[in-house]
Amino acid sequence: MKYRSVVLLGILNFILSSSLLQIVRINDAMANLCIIFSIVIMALVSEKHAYVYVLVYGFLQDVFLGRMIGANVFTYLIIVFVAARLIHVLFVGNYVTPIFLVILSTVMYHFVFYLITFFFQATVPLEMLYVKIITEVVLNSLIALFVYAFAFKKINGYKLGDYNA
Amino acid sequence: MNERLKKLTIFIAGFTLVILMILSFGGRERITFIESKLGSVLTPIQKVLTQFGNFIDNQTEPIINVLNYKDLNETLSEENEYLKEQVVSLTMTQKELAELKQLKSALKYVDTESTNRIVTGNVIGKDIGNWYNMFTIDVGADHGITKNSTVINGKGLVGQIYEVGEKWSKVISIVDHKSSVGFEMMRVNNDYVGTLNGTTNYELIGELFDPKAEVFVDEYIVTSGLGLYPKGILIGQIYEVLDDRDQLLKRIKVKPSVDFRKIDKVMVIPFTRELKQNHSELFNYDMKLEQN
Repeated sequence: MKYRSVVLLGILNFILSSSLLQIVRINDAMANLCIIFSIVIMALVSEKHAYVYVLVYGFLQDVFLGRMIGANVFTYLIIVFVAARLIHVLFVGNYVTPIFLVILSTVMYHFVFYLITFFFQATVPLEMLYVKIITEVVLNSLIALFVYAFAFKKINGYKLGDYNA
Repeated sequence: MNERLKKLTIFIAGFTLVILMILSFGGRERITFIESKLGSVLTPIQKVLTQFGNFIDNQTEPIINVLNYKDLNETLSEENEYLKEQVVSLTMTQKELAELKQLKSALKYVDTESTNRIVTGNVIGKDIGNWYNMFTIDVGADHGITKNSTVINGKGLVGQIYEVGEKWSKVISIVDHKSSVGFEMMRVNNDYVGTLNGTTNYELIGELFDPKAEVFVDEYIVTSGLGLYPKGILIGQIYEVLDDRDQLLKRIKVKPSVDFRKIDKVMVIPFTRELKQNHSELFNYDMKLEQN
């Protein structure tokens, strides 16, 4: 996969998430395409590609919709870094791996963001965010599963979970 | 790249980003040339897609909400009755206002010019991360927008301009958890003032400066003119009044008049020196309140 394609994918995902996909909100939460795609790219392409992707997407998110430059890039970099360490001990050819990584990454995203807001702004009452976070975890996992299965077949030439291939 | 070098690179990148966060925190007076130009390129694409999304949303909403129409009808009937009463009392007030206007022209009083320079814009992008209540609009410095300008729509107060690009601006809504608005009651007598703060779930929580204030559920509140916002913009309706006996304070919970999930068009009132002075007054009030 070319780096140019990763950059374009990052820009496209950001534009779609901030505009058209806003209508697909459940419990006021929407799926985080950056987490989903960074995990898929990291697991199936390479760690470097995932870093490029999160740099593009995170930067755009910080510039156009963030309170401060760097908060989203910082959070996504940590997610890719941790997930890349975990992928070495996980089997990439089953359904559980993407779900596990995406759940962990989504929780980590909110945890790191909570810490950032705690140090830079004010304590956010977490009880108000529980429903949003849980909804986002479910949405991210479901979408990640489809994207991961699709990308897996495209890259490897056989279906995800097909142990006879 | 070996693992040690990779870790070091990530650490340096992380450290640089933290420095960037500190430097850019609180919004910048001027954003960089690259950010401004990047916005000018992406804004038209986002605008088209957002408008398409709004179109789909508007078409599908009646189908999704078909089960809620009975409740909505009842609520509207009640509101209609209440508004009829209001019309009567407002007609009386309007007569008084006409007299005051005549008096004002006789005294040659000069109006503040900011309200005559209102700029209208479209919402082109909304927050993704579920933490902030921010969005971008398609008007910027080229249209006369400055940082801290007030953003409103047909229903009331929306928020304020956080950062400005050439052809786009970033807006922070009043329901954002770090937003602060000076308010007063929308009534003729016993006018109480206070400050409101946003929460993450589209409601506002406020504190009244007078602990003995008598406020009631269903009352409307407007901006007081203290702080960054001009006086008299509708904020919302009180739905709960709480007595905080520990801090000897009266708190209120407010439902904003603006539906933040469905914003597509906004108006921007440019920030003036007069408002800047009011902002420092509100800051002093807040400090006193915290000390007490």
